[in-house]
Amino acid sequence: MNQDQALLKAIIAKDPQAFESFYEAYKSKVYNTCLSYTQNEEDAEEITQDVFVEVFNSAQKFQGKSSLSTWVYRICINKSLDFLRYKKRKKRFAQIQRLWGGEKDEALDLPDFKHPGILAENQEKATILFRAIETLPENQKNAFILSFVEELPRKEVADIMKIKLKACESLLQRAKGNLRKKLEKFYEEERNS
Amino acid sequence: MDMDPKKEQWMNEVMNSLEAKSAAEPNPFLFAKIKQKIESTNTFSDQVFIGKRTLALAFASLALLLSLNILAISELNQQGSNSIAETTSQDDYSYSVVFQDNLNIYGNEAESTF
Repeated sequence: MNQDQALLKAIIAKDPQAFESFYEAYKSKVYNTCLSYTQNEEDAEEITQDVFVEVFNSAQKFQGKSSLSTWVYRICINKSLDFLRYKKRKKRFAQIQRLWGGEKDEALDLPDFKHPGILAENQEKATILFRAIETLPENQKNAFILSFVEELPRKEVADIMKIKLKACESLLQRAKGNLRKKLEKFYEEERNS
Repeated sequence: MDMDPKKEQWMNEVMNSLEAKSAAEPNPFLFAKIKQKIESTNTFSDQVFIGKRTLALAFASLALLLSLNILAISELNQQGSNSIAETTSQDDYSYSVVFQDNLNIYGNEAESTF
């Protein structure tokens, strides 16, 4: 039995010590991934909580077909994407409400995201990059965030996304191409304004 | 078409802006919040759930109890209305007796007077 399996077995047995060591080992990975998706610290914390609660409650469902880290990343991505979809729906509904004379919900229009771990001189440009990442289709966004923001090896990204390595690389190429197109647009807009 | 070198440089800088990024740290109280959330969800899962059969039995007993009560009340109402009818007919009789008595009194008076 490897270390991950032993840890999970202890979590299934509701061992609080084991769960705490699991949290210590994964908190940074989970929180940073959530942060890259939500681009908001409070939302990222909320989803991080949900991810750990899910791991605690469904540890017995883990079949060991993938690594523990892959399984945790999958939960994390699913929760983050669900959250983003929910937020999008809420935003659309608020827009309709506004058309009918409702009041503007400030919480839905978040300011530009400043990642707390990025060097001060890169902050402005990173904010623009995050804004562009937000516009990518889901699978390209997943591939880009896991590879370039979380800096995971391509093989692990492919495993998390349940795709082949080649498919993952092709997704990354498309993501980069789309980001460059978007950045070109931003540059022109900035110059014209 | 060649791209503006300034634009190209800016785009490269933006694309590479995540380099040398350090990991962000979550709130130090996050684990306590997670534990609290787990405890609250487990309290919920510890709640006793009643099976369908028990629930159906409970509803059946309640329905039986209600129908028996309705039956008993309607029976009582019926009895009540019968007794009222009896008493009212008795009252009518007594009134008529009184009335007749009165008439008789007058009758007697009349008889006695005339």
